[in-house]
Amino acid sequence: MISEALAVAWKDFRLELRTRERLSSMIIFSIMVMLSFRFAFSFFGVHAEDPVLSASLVPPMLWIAFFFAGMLGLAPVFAKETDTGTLNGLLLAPTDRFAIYLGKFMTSLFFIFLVSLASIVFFAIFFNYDYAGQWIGIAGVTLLGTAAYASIGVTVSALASTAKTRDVLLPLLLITVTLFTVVVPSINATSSILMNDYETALTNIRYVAAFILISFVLSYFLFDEVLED
Amino acid sequence: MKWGKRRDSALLVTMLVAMLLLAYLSTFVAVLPPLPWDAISFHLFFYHIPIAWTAYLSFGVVFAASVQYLRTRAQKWDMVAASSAEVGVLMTTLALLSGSLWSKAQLGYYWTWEDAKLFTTFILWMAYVAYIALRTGVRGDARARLCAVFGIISFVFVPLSFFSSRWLVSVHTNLTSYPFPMINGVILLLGVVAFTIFYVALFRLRYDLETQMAEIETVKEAMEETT
Repeated sequence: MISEALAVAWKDFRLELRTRERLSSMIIFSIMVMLSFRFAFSFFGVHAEDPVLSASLVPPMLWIAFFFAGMLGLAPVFAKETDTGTLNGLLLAPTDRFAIYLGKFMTSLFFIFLVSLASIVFFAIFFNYDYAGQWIGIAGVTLLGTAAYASIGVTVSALASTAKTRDVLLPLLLITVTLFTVVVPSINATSSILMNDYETALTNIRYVAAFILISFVLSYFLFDEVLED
Repeated sequence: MKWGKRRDSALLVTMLVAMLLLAYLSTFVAVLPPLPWDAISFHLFFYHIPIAWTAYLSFGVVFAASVQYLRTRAQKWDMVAASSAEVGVLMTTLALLSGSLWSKAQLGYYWTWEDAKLFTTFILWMAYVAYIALRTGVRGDARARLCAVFGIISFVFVPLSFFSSRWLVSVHTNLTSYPFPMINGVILLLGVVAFTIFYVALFRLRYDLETQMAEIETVKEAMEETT
């Protein structure tokens, strides 16, 4: 199953290398968001040294960028397959459907995490902010958070892709499913790390990890039903 | 159909009687325990708890019906899930409103986002609004299947909302921590029964509507085929 998943992932990855549609739109979006924040919260550029202010302001800003850039990354996962008519070919592949999910999960996570890392760097440049030296901790929480986001996001994207109103439906479904389970604990974990409060960070990281498990189990049982045609 | 109508009116009458009885008992008979707050708004609990219970119950029905649909592919289960979800959204709205009123009376504000119970219940409400949005957004054969999948996913938020005041930080009152006279428990139980009947009656009406819509749909298809 892993090799089939890798094949699906590799297909999407090569497609992206040729067109660069997804990644470029995500990166541009992330720059736009960070620029907007730079102008909206210009006072923060002066007070970036204030640990309490930065711990409460930086994580939400980052996660707004991660979330919406990630949504741009998740929207075409199946919508594009449906539009170009390649979904049937994918479904005909003699493999467990969960392998398709895993493959899509890998590429989505890769793109979303890459763009999130880029957003972290953009933020640092625009606000002249050094994350209190906690680069690795922030990146680690981001990896876990985006993994949770992608793990349920792929299934939700598949759900919304057949709807006529998918452009409205995907944000609605994604926000509902991930806001409390992924985004809020990730923000809490990030802000705890900025405050050097590792205990609270660990509690929130556990929530996110538990949700990854839940969404994998849900996807394992339900993904087959979503794609069935 | 005739029997269905009679059963519906029987349900509605039972519902009305139970509600009136609940109103009487909770207002005049309830023994208020010594509470650290002004006790008059405590009466609201005899409504708030049964309403919240009904909301969880209806989402439980959505979950069970969704699982059943995926297993049997019988259209009936899809209709059950759709009807129950709508009643559930109504009940969650009422639970949020009644809780909010209590909060205003006791704590001085209608709403706070820093509270796990409020937040998770709001998310629960949103999840089933999204479920209804999904239902209106998808057309054709895929609708029932996709809605069943989301009906199962969104059930995650029911235990999350229910246990949130125990697991996470919350201003939400935990009744087990107060001396709770026997008579209150009886009234509360009656409230739960009354609101369950209320749910069944509303569900029944909504389900009949769903059947009629399905009938219209088949007639329409038949007409299109002949023309």
